[in-house]
Amino acid sequence: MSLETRKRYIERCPRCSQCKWLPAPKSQRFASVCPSIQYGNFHSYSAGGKGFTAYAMLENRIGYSAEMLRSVFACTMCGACDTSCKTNFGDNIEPLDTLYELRARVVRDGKSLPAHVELIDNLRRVGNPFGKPSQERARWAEGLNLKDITKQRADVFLHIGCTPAYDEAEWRSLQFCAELLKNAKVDFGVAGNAEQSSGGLAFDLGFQEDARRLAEASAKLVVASGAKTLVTCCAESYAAFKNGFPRLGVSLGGLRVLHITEYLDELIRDGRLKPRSSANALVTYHDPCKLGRLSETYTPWQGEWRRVLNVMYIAVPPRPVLYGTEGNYDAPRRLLQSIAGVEVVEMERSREYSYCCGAGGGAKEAYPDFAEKTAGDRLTEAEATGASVMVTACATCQRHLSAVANKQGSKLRVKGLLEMLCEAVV
Amino acid sequence: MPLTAEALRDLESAVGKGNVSDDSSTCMSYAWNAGLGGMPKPNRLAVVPPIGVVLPANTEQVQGVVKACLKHGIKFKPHSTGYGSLATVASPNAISVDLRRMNRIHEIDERNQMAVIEPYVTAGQLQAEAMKSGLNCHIVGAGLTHSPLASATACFGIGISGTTTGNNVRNLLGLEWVTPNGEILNIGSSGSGSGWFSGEGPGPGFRGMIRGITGTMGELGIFTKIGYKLYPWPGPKKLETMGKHPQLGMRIPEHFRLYHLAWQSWEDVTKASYEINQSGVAYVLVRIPPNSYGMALSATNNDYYDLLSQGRLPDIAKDDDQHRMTWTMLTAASSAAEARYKERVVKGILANTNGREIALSPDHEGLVAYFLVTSIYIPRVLRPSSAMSTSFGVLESFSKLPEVMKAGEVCLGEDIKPGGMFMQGSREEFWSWPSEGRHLWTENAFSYDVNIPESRGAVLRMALEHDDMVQTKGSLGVEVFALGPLADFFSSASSNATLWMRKVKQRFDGHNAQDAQFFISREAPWITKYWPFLRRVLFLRIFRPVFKRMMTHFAIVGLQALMGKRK
Ligand SMILES: Cc1cc2nc3c(=O)[nH]c(=O)nc-3n(C[C@H](O)[C@H](O)[C@H](O)COP(=O)(O)OP(=O)(O)OC[C@H]3O[C@@H](n4cnc5c(N)ncnc54)[C@H](O)[C@@H]3O)c2cc1C
Ligand code: SF4
Ligand code: SF4
Repeated sequence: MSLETRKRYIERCPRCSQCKWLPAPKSQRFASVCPSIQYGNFHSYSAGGKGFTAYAMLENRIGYSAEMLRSVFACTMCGACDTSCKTNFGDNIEPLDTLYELRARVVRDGKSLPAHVELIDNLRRVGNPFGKPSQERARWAEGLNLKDITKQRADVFLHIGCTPAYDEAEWRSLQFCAELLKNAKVDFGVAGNAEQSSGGLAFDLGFQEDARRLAEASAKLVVASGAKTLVTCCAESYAAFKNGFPRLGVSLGGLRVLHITEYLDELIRDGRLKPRSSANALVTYHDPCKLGRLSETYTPWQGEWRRVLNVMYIAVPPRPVLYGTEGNYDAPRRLLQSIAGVEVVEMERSREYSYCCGAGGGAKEAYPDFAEKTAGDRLTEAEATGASVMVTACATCQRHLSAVANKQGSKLRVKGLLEMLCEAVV
Repeated sequence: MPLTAEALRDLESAVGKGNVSDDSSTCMSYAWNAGLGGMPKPNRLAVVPPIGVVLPANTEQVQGVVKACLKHGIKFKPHSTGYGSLATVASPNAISVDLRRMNRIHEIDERNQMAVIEPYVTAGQLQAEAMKSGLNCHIVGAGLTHSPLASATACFGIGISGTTTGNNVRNLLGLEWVTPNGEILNIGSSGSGSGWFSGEGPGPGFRGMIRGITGTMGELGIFTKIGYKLYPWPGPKKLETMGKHPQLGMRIPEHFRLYHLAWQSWEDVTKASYEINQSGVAYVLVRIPPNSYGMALSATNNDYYDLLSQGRLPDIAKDDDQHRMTWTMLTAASSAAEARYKERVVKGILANTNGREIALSPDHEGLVAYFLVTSIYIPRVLRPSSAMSTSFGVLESFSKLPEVMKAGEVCLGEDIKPGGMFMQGSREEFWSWPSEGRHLWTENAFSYDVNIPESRGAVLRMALEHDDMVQTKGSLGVEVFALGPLADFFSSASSNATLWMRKVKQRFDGHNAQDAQFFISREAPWITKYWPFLRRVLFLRIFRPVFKRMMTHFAIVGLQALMGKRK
């Protein structure tokens, strides 16, 4: 794809502003879906507006400026705009695809933000965005005696992901998870230090070639292991495997891909794991974008838009449309419900309409004030439910939300779902 | 001509740094011609973008912006949510005043059934908040994302739930206005400090003058706050949805019922309309053309086309004589007894008027009910090619209905047949309802393709021909969609209203601070003088092929080439 191919899609935008709002708002306070427009206010910050920026670039009506780059990159690539746009316009516009190509165009023009270049340098050097040594990736598993899947066969490839692997606060949950899998007699292995980023972040930043290289390396590692199932502890990688890899033409050879929450849920439902945990808490669950609407399986399409009925355009052959509804929404909720004494209350914006935490798409690194405001807005919504704990199943969301909760003095405790399960074990 | 450093500084001191931009990418995002209201050329980006965008947060800041514009000779155009193209600027030295930061619902007065709102409160937000108090608001066809304030003060204002929720022309109550000269005026009861409950007074009452039937389309100052009527809502405090995005339906509340009713002639439809309106049983009563129902009930163009080409369209979307002469009706009741009473009344009316009920699947029932209460799926009729136009905005007695329907078919003519320039849909595309539960509103809305010059030309043809038809026949009611120069061409049908509109524009916009794009210009275009002669020739049958070519030509070069710049 290229930005040029997006032109016909952008042209279909009637500037309805639905990409700023929930399709079915329940209140004025939490009616917005787009962190970017909430921050920047000018229309150029909305997904539709970013499309116009792209169009104006293609028509040579504008050049680069700091403000233009800000409107493009103060955006978490959360995809809520895309889901909302499809309320009325189906696959006519698909703004998220335009955002991917707009960012790729900025990269090709050599105008990337310094903060993003640093992330990419790290990914190129050490395979993770934090610039931490690749030899430290598997420190969390020291002493656990886990199978090295690069050397021994196993049914399940347990993929860890960069944030959980390098964030010491996550290690206890990872260790607990390995313990659970052992108890359930799952034949699994990990790739240890051989694992590297699956390319999701590079793709979001617009570095599509880097993303492809990382995706190919990850796919090679996974396919070579001979495992039948790929289970990842990382929401970003989950989205990359299911949605990003097909966009980049990278195949996992038909492997079954699951997020750890889906896998644990399956084990419980198969009776291989028995929930023994209890806690006493009113909890609200934050759907991570990457685990939800951005994780739908993408199917590449090649075809043409044909004019029928005088002026109507249809896709020939028909193309699969992603509405955001097929993300991983139920498994995390079922896991929460499996903890005795936990009551789950929903936020107004949940499941495919979830409001982003603000950390994604390189926004936190490039525009920290934007990322903080977004997290603050999400925390306010969580507080409004009356819950005392906000649980999420993405380490990036959790880190960011809890940092902002601490900074802003929120009474909410932000927890990872695995952490919650682990703490609640009786 | 870019903003000068001084102008930028003055604007910044009015609204604060960070709330003004003259960056070209920001400005360009306010220059999108969506093909709704304006005709894009040579592509979707307007030739003339604004030279700056400002984001005021309150009325005083709006006033500051207007004063800075007057000082520096800059034109300004207000912009609420900006759905479509009516909020775009037309002059090379104009700024957009984006009212996004003015988004407060000041009050929902449950007992007096009204709200006080600012420009960037969206219809979806207001409805959600109003329902919590057992109230509902009028929502025009642009759906949940548009601004009720923009609609009520400046831009048409008629919507499908109008049986109960009226018409924004009269939903507008007290009003705060920053005039083109930079004064802050309060109109109606807000002008006497007695609240926002009335548009006429106590206090200065000139709502009609600054609003009229069409509105001034952002070309007569900036409205900053209004009192707005709300209506009783006997449903739940939160609408319960069902189904899966994007096919969300409404769980039909207890004691509500959705009917899709059909007759065999427009005369019977008319008779039934009178009876339904007199009985007062309808919460929403609307006729939606079958083709538009097809669009609204499908999620993509491919979905719709599959249904059509495989002969699987549901009855509600069929354009045959069994299914197209219809009313869809939602009844709402607060008790089982009231619901039973309404059911009996509907049955009686059907029996009296040779009508029958068409069954809908439960999924379609939910979708249609949700659509009727929120207008959410109306924008789907834009989906075929993302451009629409409309015609025959007729506000009249129901007795005109049969004749108007026929006239609409004639006007769409060859262009909705295979090989034509509009969407091949229903034979006419009339959306009708009893505005304020009383008189007929009907408009003939159709899709065209902005990328095909002949299609754009056909829209111009349609605009001129149908206005001419309404005026010549004299029996098709009052036409509301005569905007811009069309108002000058056809105003004699409306008691030469343009004479008065022009006086209002000249009087209030003394400094010529605002464009004349959609509202009346300060001076009549030169061609108006020759129009009576021209129109005698233009609409002759023999002249038709030339007329069509002319319209395509002007669709390419722009109407300005014919009329000159409107002042
Ligand atoms: C799909 C579709 C369906 C529609 N159906 C209907 C319908 O059924 N009935 C109907 O009445 N209209 C209809 N419209 C037009 C509709 O009225 C407007 O799009 C909408 O009401 C305006 O809201 P907005 O927030 O988009 O206004 P904007 O686009 O921001 O503004 C509309 C006009 O009002 C002016 N304006 C905006 N705010 C102010 C202000 N504060 N002070 C002064 N002037 C202002 C603008 O300059 C512009 O000319 C439809 C439009 C679309 C796109
Ligand atoms: S991108 Fe989609 S939702 Fe946003 S303005 Fe355009 S059509 Fe509307
Ligand atoms: S991806 Fe998220 S932040 Fe970016 S424009 Fe879309 S909704 Fe807004």
